Amino acid sequence: MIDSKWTRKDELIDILLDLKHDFGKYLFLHLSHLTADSPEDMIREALRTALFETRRISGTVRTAEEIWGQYRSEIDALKYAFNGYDRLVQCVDDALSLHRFLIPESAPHPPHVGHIHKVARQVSEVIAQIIAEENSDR
Amino acid sequence: MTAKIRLLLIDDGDTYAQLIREQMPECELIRPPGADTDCVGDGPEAISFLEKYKGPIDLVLLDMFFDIPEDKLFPLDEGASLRRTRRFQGVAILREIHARFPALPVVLLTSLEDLSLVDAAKDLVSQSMTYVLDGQDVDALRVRIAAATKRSRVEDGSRVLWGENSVMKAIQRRLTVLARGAMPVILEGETGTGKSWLAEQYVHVNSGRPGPFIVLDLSTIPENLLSAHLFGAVKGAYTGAVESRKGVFEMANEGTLFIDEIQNAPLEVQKQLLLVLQDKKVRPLGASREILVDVKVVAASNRPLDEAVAQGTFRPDLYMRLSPATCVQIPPLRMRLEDLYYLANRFARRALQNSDIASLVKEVATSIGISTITDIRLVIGRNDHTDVSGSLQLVIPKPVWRMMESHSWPGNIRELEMIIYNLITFTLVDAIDTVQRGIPITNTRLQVDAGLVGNLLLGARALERKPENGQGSGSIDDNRIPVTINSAGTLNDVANDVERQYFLTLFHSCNRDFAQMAHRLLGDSSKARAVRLRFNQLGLRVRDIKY
Repeated sequence: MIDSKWTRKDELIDILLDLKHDFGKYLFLHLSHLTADSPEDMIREALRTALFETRRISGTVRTAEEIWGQYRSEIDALKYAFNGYDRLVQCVDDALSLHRFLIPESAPHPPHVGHIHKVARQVSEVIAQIIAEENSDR
Repeated sequence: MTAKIRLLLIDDGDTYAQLIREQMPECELIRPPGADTDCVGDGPEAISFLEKYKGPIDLVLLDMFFDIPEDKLFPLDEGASLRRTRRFQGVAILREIHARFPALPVVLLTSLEDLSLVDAAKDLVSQSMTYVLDGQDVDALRVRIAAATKRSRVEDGSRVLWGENSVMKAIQRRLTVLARGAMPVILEGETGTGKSWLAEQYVHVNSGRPGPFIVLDLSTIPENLLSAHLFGAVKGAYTGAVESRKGVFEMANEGTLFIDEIQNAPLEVQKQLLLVLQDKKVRPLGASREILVDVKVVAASNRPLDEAVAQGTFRPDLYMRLSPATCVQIPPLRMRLEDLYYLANRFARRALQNSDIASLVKEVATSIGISTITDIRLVIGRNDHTDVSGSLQLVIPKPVWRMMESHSWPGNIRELEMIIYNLITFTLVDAIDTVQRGIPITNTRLQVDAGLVGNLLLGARALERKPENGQGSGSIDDNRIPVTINSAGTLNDVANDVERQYFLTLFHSCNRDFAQMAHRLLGDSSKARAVRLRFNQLGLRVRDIKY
């Protein structure tokens, strides 16, 4: 008989891998070309693309928030408790909150590019940690 | 500066395409015919494209995750869920590419960490020509592409024409110098000696110029459009100019313009070329201002330009402007036979990139019971046991090789390439037939049929120049040629058909020289261009006609 806990864990890992892929590829890649010397306009444009034109496929555009919303609802529907849930939500929220730097009136200077990269990259890193933790007790 | 890296992107979205277009100017994405994006969106479409595409591809960039309908997915592992099949679809596509195009380098866009989760990937990524993008940024991608294409280009291109011949080595040194600076270069040599390859892969690549490499084949452009083609035109400049267009000089700005068969340029065009070379500016038709252009011109001719000057078909001032001091004469293959073995093996290896040959090789590999063959090598004589592990070896008997060495190679390197391709194809087909007759093949050494090589060379020998007042008589015997007529066609169809066959026969008998054809047809060798145009109108293309 298949233990439903393992089944749900496998499903969770599947979802996390997809999320890692989407945030790694679609969000981070749009920001990866920025350097410490990049002008503020370029930084804002890259952030806008990364957050609001995160994924383009077959003529449709999806935002980072929509992508996260889809995966979060799939994770919640599993009803599977895992230790890294809060860390995951926090790091994705940190990445999504970069949008506050898009409007010069509310944030005259965007953050340092190193900070942007760190926040964007953290999603992949946290997911990798969670997957490793989940796999360790098999 | 190197030539642009030609990439085929297999991806279900355009994120990577956009990234490459915007941030990697050293790369050029191949756009499939009829597509509105610079990528192919799924595995079956990619395989179909690769099977049909005849142009150059340096590298395939393959995404891992394909969020596409189930019917467009290649199967992954037995029992794999739909989600898993989508996530690791890149592995399934890679498997197909390896099987059909084993010499094609592929960069898989994923991390080693993720790849470790799929069993099917382990064997695939350990094979040569597979690279994994282990990082998620543009720099990591750039480094990975550079590494993959460097190896591919070193193996496939950079030495293919040089070999050990001392004249070729001297030419290499000379072109290294001539490539630099803005001075024009003239490449003279018989058809098939590799002039266009040298222009693009050596002169342009080593020029350090950031602009593109543009080819101008004067013989394929109708005379009334030549000026617009050379210099561009603004909208409405002439009837049919519905939009502004750039001329080739403007397109090649800061790059290289290769003028093929310059000896066939009409005198009026020669005059216009001279003016551009002198003034370094062009005025598009209908434009009020001139445009400065910085173009390195490489001109190719299949006969000595000084002879054309002496005959009055080439302007002496243009010849002097092109600078005879920069003229490089490429030797015919018969003068560099010490490179024959090396060149033949380069073409044998390159043959694996041909999808038809790759699928035959796959069939032979299956018959032998090995998973993949990544290389084809020619070996001379049964006792040649050069280390060729991992290769399919075609054994050419020594007498046959001597026959190849004594052949005069009128079509030069291009002829050698075709003969090697044919030799490989027929040998593989023979091997497959043998297996189908119930006789097993037990190793990777296949004997080349001596008769086959003889027939291939004989076909070429029939085209060799015959000493008949400098004209080749070829296969036109007693002024008669056999012609096939489709009786179901209209009178016009029949007339075109006859004319096409006559042109083709004459083309061979004149050793592929349009000036000779013009002399034979019109009694005036300077009408080569008109003959070439008619040739093209009849649906004939020089590059498609085998020796």
